[in-house]
Amino acid sequence: MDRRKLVEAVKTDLGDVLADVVEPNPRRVYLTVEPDHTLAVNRYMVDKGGRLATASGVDCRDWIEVCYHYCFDSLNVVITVKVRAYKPECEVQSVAQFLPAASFIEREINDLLGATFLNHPDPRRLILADDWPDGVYPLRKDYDSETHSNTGRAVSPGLGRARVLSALRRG
Amino acid sequence: MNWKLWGLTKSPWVYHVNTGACNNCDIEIVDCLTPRFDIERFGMVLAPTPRHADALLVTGGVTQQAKPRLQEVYRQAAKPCIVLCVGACACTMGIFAECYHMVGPVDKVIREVDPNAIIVYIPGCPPKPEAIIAGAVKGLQTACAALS
Amino acid sequence: MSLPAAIPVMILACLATAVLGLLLKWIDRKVTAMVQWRKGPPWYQPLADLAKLMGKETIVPENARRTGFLIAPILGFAAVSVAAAILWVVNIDPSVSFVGDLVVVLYLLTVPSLAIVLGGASSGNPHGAIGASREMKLILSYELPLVLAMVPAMIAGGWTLKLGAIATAGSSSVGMTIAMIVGFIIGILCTQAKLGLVPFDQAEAETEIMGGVYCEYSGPPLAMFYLNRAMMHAVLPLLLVTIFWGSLSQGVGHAVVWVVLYLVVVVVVTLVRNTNPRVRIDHAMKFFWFGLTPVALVAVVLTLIGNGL
Repeated sequence: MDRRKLVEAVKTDLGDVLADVVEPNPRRVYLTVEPDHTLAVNRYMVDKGGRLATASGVDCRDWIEVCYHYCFDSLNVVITVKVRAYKPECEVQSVAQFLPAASFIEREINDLLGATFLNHPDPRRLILADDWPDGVYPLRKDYDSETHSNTGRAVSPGLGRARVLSALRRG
Repeated sequence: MNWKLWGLTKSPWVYHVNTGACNNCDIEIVDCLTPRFDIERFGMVLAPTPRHADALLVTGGVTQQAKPRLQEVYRQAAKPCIVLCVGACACTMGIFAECYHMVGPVDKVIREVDPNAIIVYIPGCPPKPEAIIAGAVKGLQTACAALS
Repeated sequence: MSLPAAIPVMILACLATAVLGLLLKWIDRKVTAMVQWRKGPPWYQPLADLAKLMGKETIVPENARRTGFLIAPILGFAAVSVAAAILWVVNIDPSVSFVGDLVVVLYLLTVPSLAIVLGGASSGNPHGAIGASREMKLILSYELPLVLAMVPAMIAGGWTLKLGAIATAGSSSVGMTIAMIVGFIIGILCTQAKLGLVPFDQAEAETEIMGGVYCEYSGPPLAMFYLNRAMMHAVLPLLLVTIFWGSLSQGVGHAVVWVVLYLVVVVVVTLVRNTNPRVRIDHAMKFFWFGLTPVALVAVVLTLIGNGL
């Protein structure tokens, strides 16, 4: 089966579940799904032979977008499944329930962006320090390094500029 | 120079600590042991444990998680022990100066434990092995002048 | 030998072995450097290591058993010194030898390894405990082939345990000569394990268990362990060459070959160290129990056949 057939099959089988399909170039497909269908779509991708390369998270203003990137190595195509975790709860079903490869990366997205993965088999903190306060997510756009300052962290002159930039973005 | 300091200059055993570096500086440190640069000529050997160390080669700006551990390693090292900050991140936190996880450069963290620690700065990103060797030699000479 | 005469002999032997051991340690590092296409350290490097270690502070961890921790290196040093003294005296004058001194020397040469076990076990550190258990397993593995390898030499000396008699006897048949050569090679491999050199340095596995038995040592106790290893590096080839070739006082040509064989042992140990990876502890035990011990037994049988039983 070649790349085009795979993409057509994906669009046909999942058509009603997909909120959006974007194909910026022949090797790259982005599917947007609502959080209710995330398990079904991810399971479909794995069954079709996709290898979960990694997942990434983006802080969009009203939701956190969790993107699962599936590589189909022999067909030279990467299909990304984008799931929206709507704020303020930012909850989405965990893919690690049936796919162990997603376990660590979901823990990382949870640590840094605050997306909660329901039914994650091992929802421990992964990369933030042990004494990092709960509920503070450093990679969110509204994270303010001034209000949460590391104890004894050296303040460098560049901080003023960063504060101005984040204020511009907020306003 | 008495015989203890002579021994310290001629046989510095180094212990390598990575407190959150990107590993570039670690690779350059290991390069120093290769035949091209060969720091074993100067008696420098990689020590397996901090207790055997005469010099701590610290790479990376200190992250929040690594700070108590770096201080514990420094306390465990048998004195006299100098600290070599290898790389821009160890000297000044480098490009990660404003990051959420950085606590301070290495000298700030070590001076909390020992205000009289002898700290040598080897800047670079990563510093060339020649720079690391030059920094280590200068550091040992300064340390002996300070200790005697 | 009377007691007033023995004390200066012991001190002299201890000093001579220490100096020789540090020189051999330098030869080991220099040969390693040459094999790896580097320049090695200068000739005074082991001395600088010792001087530096003597100038550092001694740290005894809170969890450690203080007495065992601090006395272990001294025990090893004492045992090596006495064994060295006996071997040097027998080499210089084989008639000054008492019945059973081979047994005494072999017992004394196990004590440094036992001291390592004591030191590692009293470190209060899991790495030390692992290193101590590995060293115990190694001791149980390499002592048997080492002693069995020396049996052909004992038979050649006329079924005797006197070092002097073993040293002055030659071999009287082809079978015995082959057995002595095989025994010599087995002795070299057991020396590798006794000295704690790759491929048998599981007890002090530098990169694996943070120095194992030496994990918590620092300062003068570590310097004494360093000196122990250097002196063992000098004494073990001395034992092998004395038993399998002879003593230093049997003629100039004999002495020249003695020196050559000594250097051969030292260089072979270094070359084996540089060309082999560290093996797993159970592989090491299998190598000694199921590899070297049968070969040593075959050598003993060859000697008995050659001797006409």
